Amino acid sequence: MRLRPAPSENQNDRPRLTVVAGGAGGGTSSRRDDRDARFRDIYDRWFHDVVRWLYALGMPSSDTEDLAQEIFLVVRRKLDGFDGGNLAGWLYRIAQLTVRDHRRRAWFKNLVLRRRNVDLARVEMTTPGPEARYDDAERRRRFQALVAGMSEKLRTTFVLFEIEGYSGEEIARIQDVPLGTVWTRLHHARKEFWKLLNKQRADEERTR
Amino acid sequence: MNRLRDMDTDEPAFRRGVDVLRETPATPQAPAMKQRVWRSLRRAQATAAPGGLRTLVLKLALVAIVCLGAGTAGAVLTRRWIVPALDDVPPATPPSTPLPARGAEMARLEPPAAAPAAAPARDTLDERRISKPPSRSAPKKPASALPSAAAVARERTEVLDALVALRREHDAVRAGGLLSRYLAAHPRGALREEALVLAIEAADARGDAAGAQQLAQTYQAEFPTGRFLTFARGHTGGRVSH
Repeated sequence: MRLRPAPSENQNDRPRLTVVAGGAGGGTSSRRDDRDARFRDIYDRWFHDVVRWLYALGMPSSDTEDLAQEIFLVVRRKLDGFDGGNLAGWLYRIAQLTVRDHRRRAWFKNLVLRRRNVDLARVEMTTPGPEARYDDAERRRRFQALVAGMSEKLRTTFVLFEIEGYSGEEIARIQDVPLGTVWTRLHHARKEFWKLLNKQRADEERTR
Repeated sequence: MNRLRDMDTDEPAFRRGVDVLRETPATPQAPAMKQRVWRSLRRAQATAAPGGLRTLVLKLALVAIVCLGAGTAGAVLTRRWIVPALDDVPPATPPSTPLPARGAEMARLEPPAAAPAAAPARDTLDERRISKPPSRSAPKKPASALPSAAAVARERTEVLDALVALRREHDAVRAGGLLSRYLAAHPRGALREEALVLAIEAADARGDAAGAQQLAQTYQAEFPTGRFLTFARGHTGGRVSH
């Protein structure tokens, strides 16, 4: 097995929407090496995006790490079957299905064991930590709770565009939909956002 | 399309929404988490079973499940159970209170006068379901002090054969012969009490009053507090032999 450098942590390394082509090696081990190289490249470039998608898909920060691992396990297993087309769309679809499975499992587990899913971000911090970090996490959690009332399609489009800073074209490619659909979803999501915001304000005033 | 957070407005409601979006930060980079997940993935890859082996294990598990299912279904359909272990063999003393009559077949089998014999008949008929099919051969070896579960089941079959010969086939001579053989072969048999009662009944049925009396005396001597004592006394006139 060849030694390769650890995954890059370069913040400005934007993902390319292409797959690194595999080598033309004939042997099994060479094919495996090529696949490993492709997987490492995908992991390196797309890990952060997958984490952002998980936030847009409404996953709490406490589940992010496990889900990211699960997603990349699927990616490695299915990499040979990938046609080399829209890598972003392929990865996003895997993330979407993994989140769906996770929700179903959580629902079933909750039904059987009657356990509450505890979001660590909601747990009150008893130890003093970096204040800014806590504030950020708290604001992200509150925003996620606010937009949780939207449908998944509207919410993901809205969060990816308004919070994560994706362009409309990028979202269209990730979600594998026409650009016009992205703008339509965004339009409806914004209307929904105002509604949810007004409802939240009304609730706050009522509790005062 | 512009982002809401980049827009400027004086309208309070709109302003509030824009502020919420501006205050919510994008997902921060998490290099430590990236490294952790990568290490977990490498570990998972190293410990994962090869695809062929995993398939083989799954196939074997599937075959085992099918075999177990088929075996269970076969046992249910043919009513052949695994012979219970010696510890699980119930004692040969049926309930002291007589049970109600159980359908036409049992009514035919049980004589109206011999009420005490009803209990062993019920007992042995029930056990027919959990024992092996009746064997026509005579017992070859005497029972040991601690008989095996198979030996107990064989004993039950022998007594059952005699019961069928006596009650269903009305062949008192054959029933008497079978019971004599059983009593001789199993001096401490689990069903000796029932066999003795049936032997008295068989002797009575073939008109051998002396034989019935002798067997009744034997019963009273061996089972002085037996469940069929009244029935035995009816054949001895109250005399007890020691």
